[in-house]
Amino acid sequence: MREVEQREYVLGYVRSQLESLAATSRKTKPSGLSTTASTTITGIPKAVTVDKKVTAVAGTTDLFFVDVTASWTVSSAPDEPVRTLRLTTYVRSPYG
Amino acid sequence: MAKRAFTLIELLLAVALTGMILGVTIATYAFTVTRLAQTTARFTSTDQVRKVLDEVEDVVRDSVNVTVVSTAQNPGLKCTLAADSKKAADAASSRLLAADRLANPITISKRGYERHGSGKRVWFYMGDASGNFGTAGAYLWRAERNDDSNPTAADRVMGWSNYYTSGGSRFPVLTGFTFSLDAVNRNVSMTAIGRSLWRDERSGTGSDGDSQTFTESRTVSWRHWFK
Repeated sequence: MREVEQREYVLGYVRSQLESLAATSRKTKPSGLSTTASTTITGIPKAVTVDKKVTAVAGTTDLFFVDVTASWTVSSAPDEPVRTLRLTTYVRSPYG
Repeated sequence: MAKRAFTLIELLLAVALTGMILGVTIATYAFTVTRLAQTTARFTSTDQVRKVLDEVEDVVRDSVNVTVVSTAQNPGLKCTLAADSKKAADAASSRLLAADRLANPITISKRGYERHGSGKRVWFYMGDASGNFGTAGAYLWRAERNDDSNPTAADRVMGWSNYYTSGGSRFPVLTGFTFSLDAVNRNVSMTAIGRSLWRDERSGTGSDGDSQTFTESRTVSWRHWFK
């Protein structure tokens, strides 16, 4: 699979994870939702490291910063193999 | 036979039903329009970030040398292309032409390494709307010079940075473009950041509810022509 297609797969995954994490943060207590894990994404030969964080914004009680970062290895570019995509947003949660 | 008209109850019922249908339709329309605008804005941010990285990568890969020039504000990424008489004719072009990319080397060593002279210097830097190098701002500029001096606003490639050379910025959702060099391994690590709000929509606080910030990083090697 070409590099540009791999990027689209990872971006789609990161986008869905961000939406999911933001939705969960609105429904439950956001603290404790942060995780780091290796996962398999269809079309990416090696495992993708996905780092998910939900942190409270300083000076607020209900505003949270949601951050999903994915790093993967591009097999077609051996001399510069690592790519990183990151999506972030803010959510308000009554469970803060 | 007398004609039968609608009763008051029937009329009230018809008005209530029409109101309900209109209400649901308008609410659905408003929801759809909002979500569509939101989704479009998010895709715009990821698309512009990718476009910036692709185009800078394109130049870095063609360069014989890359340096970072620091200022009190935003630094500049200076990419020196190989000297190539054919490119002189393309000086006005904002893009390199694929057919002309392979410059004629000055010498070729016994081991096959090519040696090239320094050609056009292509700069990328963030700055304010004036386009002056070393200013603070979120506008991404590309400038070109034929010597080692820092670029001026007159050196900007307007067709790259703006639509139709003088219109709006091509990258209005871009909020940051940073880079660092690994001179030993001859590569540049680049990070571009885009936000799903246009420049004039952003608030200063950084928390905009439904907006998303997209960050992409990649490391790119420049050509190892000077080995």
